[in-house]
Amino acid sequence: MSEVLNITSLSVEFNINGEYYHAVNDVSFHINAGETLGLVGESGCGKSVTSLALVRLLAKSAKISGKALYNGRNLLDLSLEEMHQIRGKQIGMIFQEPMTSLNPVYKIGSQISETLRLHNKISNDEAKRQSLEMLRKVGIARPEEIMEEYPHQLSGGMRQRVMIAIAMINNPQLLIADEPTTALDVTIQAQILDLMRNLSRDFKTSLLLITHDLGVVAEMCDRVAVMYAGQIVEQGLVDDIFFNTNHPYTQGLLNAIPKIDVQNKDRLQPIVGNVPSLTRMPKGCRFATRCPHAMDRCKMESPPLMEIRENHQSRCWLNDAKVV
Amino acid sequence: MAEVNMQEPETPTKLEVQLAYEGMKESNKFLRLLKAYPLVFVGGIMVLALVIIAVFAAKLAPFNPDTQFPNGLALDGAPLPPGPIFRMGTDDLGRDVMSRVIWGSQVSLEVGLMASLISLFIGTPLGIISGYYGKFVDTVIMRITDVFLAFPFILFVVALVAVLKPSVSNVFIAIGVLGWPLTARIVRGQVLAVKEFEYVQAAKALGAGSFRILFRIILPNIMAPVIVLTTLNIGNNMLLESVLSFLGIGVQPPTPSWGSMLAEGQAVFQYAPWLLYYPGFALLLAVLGFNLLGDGLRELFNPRRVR
Repeated sequence: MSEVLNITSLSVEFNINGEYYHAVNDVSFHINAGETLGLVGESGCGKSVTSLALVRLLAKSAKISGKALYNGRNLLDLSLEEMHQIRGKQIGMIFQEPMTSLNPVYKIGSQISETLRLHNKISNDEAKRQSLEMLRKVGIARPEEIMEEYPHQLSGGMRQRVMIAIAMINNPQLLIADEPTTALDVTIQAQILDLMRNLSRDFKTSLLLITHDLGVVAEMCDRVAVMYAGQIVEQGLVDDIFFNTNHPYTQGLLNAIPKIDVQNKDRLQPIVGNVPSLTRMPKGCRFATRCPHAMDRCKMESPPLMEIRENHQSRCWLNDAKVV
Repeated sequence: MAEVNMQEPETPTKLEVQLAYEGMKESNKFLRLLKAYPLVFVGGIMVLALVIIAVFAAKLAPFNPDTQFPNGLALDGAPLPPGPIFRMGTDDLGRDVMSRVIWGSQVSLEVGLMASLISLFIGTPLGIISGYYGKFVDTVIMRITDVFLAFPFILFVVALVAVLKPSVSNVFIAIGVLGWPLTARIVRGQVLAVKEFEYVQAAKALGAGSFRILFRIILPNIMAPVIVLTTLNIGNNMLLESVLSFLGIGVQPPTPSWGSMLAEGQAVFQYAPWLLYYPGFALLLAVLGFNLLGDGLRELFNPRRVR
């Protein structure tokens, strides 16, 4: 399988009061053609920053280093002009808030065909026809009427469908979905996820799915990367992550999911403590302060991402101890 | 590519759709708007009347505004009060006041409109650029507006007109060129709010360049307050024109302008008060019309309005 996206040691630094701090630290992952990669982590762990960094939508003050190879071209080296060509044409994006991601002053139809015409030399009529077709594909009933309506006339679920239509209209190779279902209620969530899965299969689009919802991950993803405090702490096939969980943080996340078969009224186990602040990262393992298995070594040395079996890496000293 | 079909539960049924559209019939919509925003209509009618009067001044005015009628003066040389021939009386040169008031609307409207448009076309792009790019560009543009706003406005206009030589076009150029900072500030404030919306980010993610973001995505979203401001500006600028003409550096005689009519009438107003009443009243109505229209539009564009 060919790689669509390959990110190597991507780091993003933000300037806070004159000093630079890593929001994303040495993140590496790849996405194969047609594959869905889940990027999981709690709020503020750097998953959105990672995605914005690779399409270069971060503020200019952010310092980005590393490599982001898209079909062999480093996105971080391209000119702004070349970047405009790639955004929306080859890499589509869907955002969290369907209520505000559509421009309130334009009709749905013109917003979709605009995106199409921005990247293709086609006539207005042809753009309209293709937009209508796309609206049908994303499961919008009575698309002819919706074309003539404004965003405020649609519900959240319909707006997210329209956003997906806009993101997919140029048939991108990679779709980045940043918490696409967080703002929707559960029944609509399921429909949107279904839709995204079907579309990415039909269009052979790779999907980078950013979420904090492990349920979504289990349903959608082929592989998962778990992020904590700007680093990837565990990465592997979805089954390995769920059933051969290695990193204590991933374990903690899984323990914190409510289960339907709990017998005695057990309380959920939260991960104690808070994510360390960007300006005060611990010297050793970033999870050490909250980790139930923390050893002295964890507080002194930062663990590297270790290969614990084929296609499964974890950033934890416990694995080193096992090897020794 | 296979069809992905999914039922959309929130889709209204056919019947509901039809009903919803029936309620939106044009006439009903108009009546509802009239009831909800009477100000817009009152202001709008006043402005419309002014425009009609200005455009058809030649047809509406009973006499040539510059003709000094021998029968326009009393035997002792005093101006005539309103009567059957000169409905608003005559001035101290024997000219028909009504014709002069009607022709004066042209100058007022021209200056008000053109000056506001000049402010709009200078202020809007600068405001957008300032708000969107921020940082150094913002600082430079905003400090320039500070400088402009710190000058006593009328004094500044007086000086500029004096340098340019007084004429109708120089008056509106001076007012317009000096009026842009207010527009720029308001536009900048709006841009600061709008640029944080996700649809701006989304547009970037879809490959839109800076120019497109600024003028196709952000600009339409900030137009409402800008339109209100420009409408109110027209009224203000008409007042300013009168002030300048009153001071004698605006429109030059014999071109009739409400401001210069007030200035001329001031000398004889003890025994010919109609020379102040009519141009003053015309000015009042014109400015009031634009202000009502502006306020009404502000209501209309208010997203929290009661429908």
